[in-house]
Amino acid sequence: MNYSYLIPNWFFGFDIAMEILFAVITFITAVMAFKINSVTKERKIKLFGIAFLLISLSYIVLGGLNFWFVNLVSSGFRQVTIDNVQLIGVVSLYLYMVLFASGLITLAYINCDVKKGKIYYLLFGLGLLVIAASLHKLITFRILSVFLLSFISYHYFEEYLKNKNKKAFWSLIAFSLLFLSCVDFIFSPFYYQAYVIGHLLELVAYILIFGILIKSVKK
Amino acid sequence: MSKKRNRLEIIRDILEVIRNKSGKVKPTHILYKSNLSHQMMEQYLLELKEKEMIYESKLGNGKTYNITEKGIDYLSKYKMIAEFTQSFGLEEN
Repeated sequence: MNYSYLIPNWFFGFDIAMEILFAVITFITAVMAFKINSVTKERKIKLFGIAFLLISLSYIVLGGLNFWFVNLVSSGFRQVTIDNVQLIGVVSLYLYMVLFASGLITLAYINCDVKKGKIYYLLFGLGLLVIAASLHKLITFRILSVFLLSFISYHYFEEYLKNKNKKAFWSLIAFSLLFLSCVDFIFSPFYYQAYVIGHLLELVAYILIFGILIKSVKK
Repeated sequence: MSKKRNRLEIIRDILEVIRNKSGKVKPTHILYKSNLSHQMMEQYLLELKEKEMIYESKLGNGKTYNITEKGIDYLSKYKMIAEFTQSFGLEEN
């Protein structure tokens, strides 16, 4: 996999902290969805919880991978061989991609407004096969994420226009920012600024999602 | 013209009808108060029974519906549920 990120030195540590924060916010969102589902038993709410749990796990893997790698570099690779480093790094990165893509596919499926398990299976299979069959898996993963997030953002745009649902407006902004961050991450192998901007866009998006949650709990 | 109710609102209305009648009510009263067709009401009542929010009791030749703890829990958390589902566009059609 010939693909890497350009990360400015001063940003080491901040990225890991942000990834852990994203994991916490998405985990809280999932827990909240499961809690509401325990009362309503609504299919969409349960799937929403599963989607955010998958996204949360993906950030835990990514944050853990980055933390492990930074520690490894600072300790001078004393205890592991380069082969092991490569193996652990690649497996963790694949796991991150599969979890994050699965979360987005689940969110996209919810927005399709269909109750067919077969369609979910098809979306899931196609999404993951595209990544697995690609030579440049990380770029393909980013493009797939951009595509799925554009679909999810459009759903919130429609929701906002159709019902004049002002509550969906903040979700539209949050998912649009996640979409922009994924577009931005495509350029991260070429410009180190892209990695920083991508994280900052994600940060604002997840703060908005957290704000929506707080507002719901206060009701 | 008033806005069409969504699923969660209809469920809330049915549960409120049952709760307001001291938690025991005949189907005809639910039909009258919930403003639904007979077929739709039967579907909702079946769903609410499956979700254990209400239960059915025999009363002579007829039947009554009673609200459960889960049904009361739904009503007490309704505002939070509505805010969450509307904000994240999770309303079922």
